[in-house]
Amino acid sequence: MKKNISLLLFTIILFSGCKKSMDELNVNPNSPEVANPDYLFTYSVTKGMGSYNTDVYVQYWMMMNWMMHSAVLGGLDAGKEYEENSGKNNLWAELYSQSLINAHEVIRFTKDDPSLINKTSIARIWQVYLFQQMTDLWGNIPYSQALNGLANLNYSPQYDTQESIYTALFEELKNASALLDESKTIFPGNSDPIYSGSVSKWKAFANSLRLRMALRLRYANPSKAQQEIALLQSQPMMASNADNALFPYNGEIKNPLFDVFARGESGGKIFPSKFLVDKLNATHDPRIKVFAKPTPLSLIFGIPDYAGLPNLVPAGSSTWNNYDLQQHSDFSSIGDWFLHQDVPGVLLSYSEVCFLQSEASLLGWWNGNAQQLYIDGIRASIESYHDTLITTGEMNSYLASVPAVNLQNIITQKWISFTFENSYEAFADYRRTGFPVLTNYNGSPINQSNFPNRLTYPSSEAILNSVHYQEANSSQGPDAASTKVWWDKN
Amino acid sequence: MKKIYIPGFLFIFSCLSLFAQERNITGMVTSADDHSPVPGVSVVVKGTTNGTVTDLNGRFEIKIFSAADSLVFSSVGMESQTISTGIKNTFDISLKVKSHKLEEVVVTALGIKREKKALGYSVQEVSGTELQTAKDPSFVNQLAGKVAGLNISTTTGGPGSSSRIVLRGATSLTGGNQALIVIDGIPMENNTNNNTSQWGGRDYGNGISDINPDDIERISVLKGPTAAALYGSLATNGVILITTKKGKSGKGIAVSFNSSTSVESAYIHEKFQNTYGAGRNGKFAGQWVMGIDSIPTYNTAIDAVGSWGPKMEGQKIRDWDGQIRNFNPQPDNYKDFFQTGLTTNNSVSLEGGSKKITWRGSAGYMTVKDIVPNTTLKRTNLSARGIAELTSRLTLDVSISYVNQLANNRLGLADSRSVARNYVMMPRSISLESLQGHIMDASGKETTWYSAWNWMTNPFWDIQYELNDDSRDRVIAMGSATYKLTEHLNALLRTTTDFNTQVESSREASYGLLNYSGSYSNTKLNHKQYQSDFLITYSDKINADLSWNGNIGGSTFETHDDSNHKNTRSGLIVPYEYTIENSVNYPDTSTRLYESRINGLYAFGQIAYKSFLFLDVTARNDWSSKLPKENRSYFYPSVSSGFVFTDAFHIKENILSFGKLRASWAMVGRDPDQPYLESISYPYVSSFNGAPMYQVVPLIPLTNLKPELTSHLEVGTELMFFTGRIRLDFAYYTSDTRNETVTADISPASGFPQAVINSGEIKNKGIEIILKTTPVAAKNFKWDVNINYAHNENTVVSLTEGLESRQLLSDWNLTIEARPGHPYGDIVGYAILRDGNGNKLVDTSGFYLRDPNPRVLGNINPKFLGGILNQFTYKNISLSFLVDARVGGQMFSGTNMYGDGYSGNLVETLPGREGGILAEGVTPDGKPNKKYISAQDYWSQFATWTKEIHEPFVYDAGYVKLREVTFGYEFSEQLCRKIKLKGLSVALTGRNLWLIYSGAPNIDPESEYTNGNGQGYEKYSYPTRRSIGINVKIKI
Repeated sequence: MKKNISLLLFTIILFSGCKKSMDELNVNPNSPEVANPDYLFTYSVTKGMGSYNTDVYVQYWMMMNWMMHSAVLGGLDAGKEYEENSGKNNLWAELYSQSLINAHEVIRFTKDDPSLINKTSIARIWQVYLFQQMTDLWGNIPYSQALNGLANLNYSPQYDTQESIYTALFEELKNASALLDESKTIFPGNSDPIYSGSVSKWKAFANSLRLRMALRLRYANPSKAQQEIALLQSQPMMASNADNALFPYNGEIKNPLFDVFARGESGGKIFPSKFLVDKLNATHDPRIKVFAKPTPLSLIFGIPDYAGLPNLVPAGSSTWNNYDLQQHSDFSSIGDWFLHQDVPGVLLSYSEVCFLQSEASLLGWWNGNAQQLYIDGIRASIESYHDTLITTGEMNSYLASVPAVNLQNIITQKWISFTFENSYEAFADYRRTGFPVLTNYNGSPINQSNFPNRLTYPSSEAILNSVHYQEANSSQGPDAASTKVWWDKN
Repeated sequence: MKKIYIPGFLFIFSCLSLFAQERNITGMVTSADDHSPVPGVSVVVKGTTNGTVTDLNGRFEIKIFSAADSLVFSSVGMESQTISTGIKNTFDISLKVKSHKLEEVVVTALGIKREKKALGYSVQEVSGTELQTAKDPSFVNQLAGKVAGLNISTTTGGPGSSSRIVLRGATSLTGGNQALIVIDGIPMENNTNNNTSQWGGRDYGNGISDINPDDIERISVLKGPTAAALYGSLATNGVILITTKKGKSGKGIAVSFNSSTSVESAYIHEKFQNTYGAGRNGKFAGQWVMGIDSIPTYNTAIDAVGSWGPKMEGQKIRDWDGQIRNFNPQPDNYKDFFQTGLTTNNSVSLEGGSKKITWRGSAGYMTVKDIVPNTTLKRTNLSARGIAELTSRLTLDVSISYVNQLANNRLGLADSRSVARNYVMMPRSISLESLQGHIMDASGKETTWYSAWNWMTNPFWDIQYELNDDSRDRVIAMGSATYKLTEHLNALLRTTTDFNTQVESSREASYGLLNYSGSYSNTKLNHKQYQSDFLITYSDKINADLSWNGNIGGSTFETHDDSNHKNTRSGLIVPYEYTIENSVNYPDTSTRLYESRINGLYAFGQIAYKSFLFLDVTARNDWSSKLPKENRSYFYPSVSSGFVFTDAFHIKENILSFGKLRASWAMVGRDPDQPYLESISYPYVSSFNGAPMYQVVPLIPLTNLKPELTSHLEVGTELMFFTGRIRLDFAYYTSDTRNETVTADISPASGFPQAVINSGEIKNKGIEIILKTTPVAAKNFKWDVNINYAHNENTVVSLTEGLESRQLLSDWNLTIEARPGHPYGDIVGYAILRDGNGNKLVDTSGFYLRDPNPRVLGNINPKFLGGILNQFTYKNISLSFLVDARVGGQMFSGTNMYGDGYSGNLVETLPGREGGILAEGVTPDGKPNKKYISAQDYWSQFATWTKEIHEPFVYDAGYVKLREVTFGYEFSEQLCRKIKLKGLSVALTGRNLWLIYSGAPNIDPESEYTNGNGQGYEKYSYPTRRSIGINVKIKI
């Protein structure tokens, strides 16, 4: 019997032990249950910039070619240039569930502490930047109910109209930037990769972004646009390239376009487009040296010359076959300036602000000299490359030669300044204004009926958020590339 | 001895006293079948009532009074044996199982041995000897085709790759579907470590390959939850129960050697075309530029792959490496890449023991040199086991085994660094010598036949400079004590551990195409699991007809996983220096810890009536730490019954010798695979410019997490005809799994890509037939045929509410999905557009139109799986061969899609090279297509990136294989004695010898690249390893 008791005791000891309790075992030891908002903000910003999964697919394979900054050698079959790829699904998913949600968490962790008002406000401004980018691409998107998966267990948020989103974003920008306070704590060290926490720069960014947003509504809601612009006149704006909102890509997070530009020995499949190179050649734009390299063939002959690869060549045509066989010794490849992992990502630049102000001045909505602002914008663009390839003399003679300001020239210059950096914005301007006038490989205007007016929603939305997806389509129009977003009245 | 006897008779009497003196006879009774001890054997002195029974370890002790006494050993289901005692005091008896009765003893849950006829559910056993001759580096692969309802699938990632082990169909969408492995009561960690996705990866194998097959006594496959119910949460998917060998008491030490040596050759399935070489549309175009000297010059920077060029007729070319060569086919460039593999597997075991103590020790060493150069695997096994009867009541059983596995250069799978992929894409004119001779340029940069995109690495660079190795150290130990409290009451206390540490490192050289700056990574994974359990057993008889037993047990099972990962970031400062400190940027590091515990309490019992009617009941309650407090406890019962109607109704033996009906029903609860699913957290991601980055966990937790529940119903019968010449086991089952813990995809607009939910329902039903026959049983010749057949029908009844499909795998726009109303594993991809009459539609240029919406192109579930094992024995010679088959089901083959559509390397692309191809179909106006297009255009239309048409490359996944052949000779006892051996046998063996039938061209249909739930997707598989070897077994 004694033995039985000792056996039983042994059993009890074995089972109880001095181990963690069941409750203790279910506490995740790998990550904290609350987070430092600084660390969340850094992550939000890095994910809001393009990643290989998004930028390469959306910019490189889609928009850069749509906007004829580039052309793809033999990669995009003629007639199918405007097809989308899965990059748009990733872009949607990354912006919502990596970038925006972490900014949302920054706000949640800071909003109740007045001393952290700058962090709250900057996260809000950052969210506005992302939401505008998204609504410009897709039109109606979840906004008011978005990002509430954790708080309200809302797994399938409702879509809002683009118009209501714009209204809300203006409000958000205005309120958030008004709360910025130089005397309060800022994001420390490198936790703010864009402005290192500088309150004044974020304020200028917020106002510049508001100007970008206002002009987007130029045709859809002119009075609202004018009203917003008027409010901005007295506000600080970006005033030099030093104010540019840049993302400092480095060896840790490489510029995603570098990844493809620098592939292989030849720069891979993507080339500056004939449309771009012809335009720069015709106007002796010195930036050609930044965007392109002389063709290998011209270097053999000792006379450096630039030639772009045509877009929209019909498959099977003689031109197609010629290009196909000639290969790229006849074409300029991407310029060295872009072949670095640390080429910064451009969110919003001083040159764009100049162009926006110039456009607003032309309308009489902004108190400024349209011509001067237009020239300032071009100069800022050229200077942003701080490239020894372009001498001051070359720049000045070019500035002297550009045609006088008008909407077409502003937007065309803007388009040049966006080369390989911001095809998203070029795509928005094109839909809004129809500039630059894109032409085929043979100089004829492109077929507008094929040109996409938006991205279609990610295929997963139709499955995972089907009710609201259908609502969005009945409100905005069928989920097709041809459906125009609300502000697109062109 | 009394003094009364006269001294003169003293001598005689003293002689007689030898006979008349009472003495103890001891010994052990084992089964002649597998040498395991047989408990409960009745030992009776013939003609008396003096008797005893053997104990749990088969031991007995009996008093006799005369040397003339004989002992009779008898047991139900065994052939009785009578021995005369003579002057010997110890006897080891080996009892044969009665061949015509289905009264074998099988190992069931918790290692409890039961008469098979008493069971109400199906258990199928495989004897260890079946695994010890024609060996695979992972023994579990040898079970393929041998067990009905067991589906083993493997990847082509080289020796020691993982094996997916599924019983009776998939039940889970996101969790594991694999069976639990239990070895001598020790639940074994068997997580698959295969990181392959569509972008590539490597298969680091799973734990089951650590077992030395020579240590295996037998394997019991508990197919359904009823059989496995006592293992609780771990065993929803059935159990593979491994019993290892124990020592035997006997004279001296028994030594056995088992030595296998085999050579492996690449069994290539691709039928390459060897007519056309690099180029485009039949010309020296595409990759070629015309040199100034008018010699076509291959330019690697041009984005073109494959063999769409002119006929290879010895034309003068400047090849990719700059050498002037003749443009000739290289028919053996793939075959010659491979070497002859060599596998040696040697083991030695020693065993012995006294009356009270038995022990066994073994050592094994296996080396594998793969067919891919520089890929090797080594495994060392050491194990020891001792059983000691400390007192008449207390028995201890202790075992420990140690495994060390070392693998070098696991193969690249799918899209990255896969040699197989390279040869699918490489022009048929590229020679092995050119690749081998030019792996780098003068500056040390990797060179190959293609550089426009960096994914076609030079295979010779890969095997020399892109290296990885991994090692695993594992200790599995068990200690148990059995205490006989009374004659009826036994108690068992056991504790087990499985510790393993795995270290993986990978070294990518600088200046490689895929990773120009080089990298080094090192991962250490520690896995520990412990289980302690107790079991109290009471058995008694109520009356002569009715006996019963009752058991109460409990267990606590704990797992502890920690990992430590480090990798260099943004490259290596000093090339070829593989240390973490040599990182350009601050290295990435991560440490992780996952812990969990399941406590279980269970009770079970059996009532037997006249040994023909049996009723079993089990009940178990689990408490899992992975569930929130309020849902932590869950209970589930099972009931099963067996009825031997031939005994009940006294049916005559000669035709229907045995007949049994059985039925069972069980429920099994299961906790989530992962801990920490009920609370939010903010994991560290990485750092940027020195700023740390954290993110909110991309998974919405479920605060009210519940266990998953599977209910399972099984009915079956076991029949035996003609005194055992035909034996049939038939099972029909249905199972229903609900409430799975799923990480469901949700709209990312919610801020989260996934949420944890409990949802869904998956049903399986099926039949299993095991037919064992002995068509010939003559004096010297015997022929056995064993047939296994299993048919499983799976239905995904529902997913998360509102969800129409769930992806199990997604690769280049083809997905493997679970869709409600369909069987698990739909192949969903793009097809050719059809008109209203089902005609394929062709556009005016002669190209197929693609259906804009992806649709279901097939399903991976086979109609049935089966195996036929034939065994011939003639005197000492035996021959056996196993043919197994998968019938029905579909698969997608990326090798075919890209080999046809991308590169034109496969023979299917030869027709129409000269005259063009007419896409069969009608133009939108309904007229037959008459427009010919070039062969390149025809095939390329299917494999253009983002415009894929997968339909032509979805194939019947069926196959018939000659899996295993053994031709053996066992030396006779007399001969062995002459050369002072106890046993000697030699065998010639072969594995994977012949793919007799394949539904898919150019591949082995059994070629997955992942062992996850997304099966049915083949892409760039390596050749099958065809193995021929010799096996020698020696007993001393």
